[in-house]
Amino acid sequence: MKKNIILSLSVVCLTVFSAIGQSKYFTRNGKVVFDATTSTSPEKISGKNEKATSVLDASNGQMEFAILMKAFMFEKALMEEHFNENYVESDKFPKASFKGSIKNMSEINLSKDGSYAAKVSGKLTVHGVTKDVETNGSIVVKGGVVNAKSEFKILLSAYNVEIPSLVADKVAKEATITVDVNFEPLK
Amino acid sequence: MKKFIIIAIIVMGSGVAYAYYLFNKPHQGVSHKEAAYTMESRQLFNEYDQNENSANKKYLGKVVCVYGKVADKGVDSKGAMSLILEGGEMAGVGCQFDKIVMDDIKDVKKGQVIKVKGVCTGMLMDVVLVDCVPDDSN
Repeated sequence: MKKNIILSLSVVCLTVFSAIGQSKYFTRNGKVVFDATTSTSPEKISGKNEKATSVLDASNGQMEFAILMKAFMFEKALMEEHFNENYVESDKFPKASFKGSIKNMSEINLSKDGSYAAKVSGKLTVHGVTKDVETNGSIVVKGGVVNAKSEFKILLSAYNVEIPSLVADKVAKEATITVDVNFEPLK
Repeated sequence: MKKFIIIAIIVMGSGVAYAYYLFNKPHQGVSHKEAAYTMESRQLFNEYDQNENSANKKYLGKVVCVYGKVADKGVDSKGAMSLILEGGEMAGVGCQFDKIVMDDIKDVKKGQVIKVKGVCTGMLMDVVLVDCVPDDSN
């Protein structure tokens, strides 16, 4: 009898601990899209990065993202070259990062299927410049996979990204950043 | 005089055509490019792990060919595949493959040794190579 109690207690403990232990979520294949197309652009100015690394701590909502600027892929070779060499100077500033948190984490339960609205704020570092950003996003939990999406705009000049006057009216002053990541529980 | 005008038109025309070609040149893969460096995935990871800045100076934006054991294989929701080649304890060399070579790597298994060519974009947790293709040369 005593043995049974101890056994069931340890089972309960294990379950509880593993549930608590599973508070960190992670991805190394997050998707980030940069888009600076305007109505006057002659073509789509957009690059896709599918190698974003991110960690989300479900216990307090802390969140970090990091991306490599050279991992942005553009359809046109020349556009990619200009992006890297003239605009974001990715040899000098190879990374961009975001450190912040989900403000309403208490309303989000990552161990339960459902969709949740997330309020995110934190510091975004691009081109060596760090700024406060605030945005809304959505989190969809389905079968253990946590999908997080967000879209926000950044003013390129605020990050000292200069656009030559020759093409100034063909490139959006505010770029749209779209984030789409599938978090997995960190083993 | 007439000759001069004709030559001028030809020169200008070819200039415009070349500019048009450059402007519309599609994203370049690495399959026809020679690798600047060939090494074990562990070595590339270690160089980054020890000194990220000097490794960036050497490898950033360059075509690098690495070989090593597949430590992990990931498939995203849209079926795009990526491989992690062994590096350090927690991380390695992450390789993102070009969509056109997906068929060539779909049967790759964990633990298998593979040689991959791609563009080095720096280090997050893993050293990241993009535009990867399997490399068959020896």
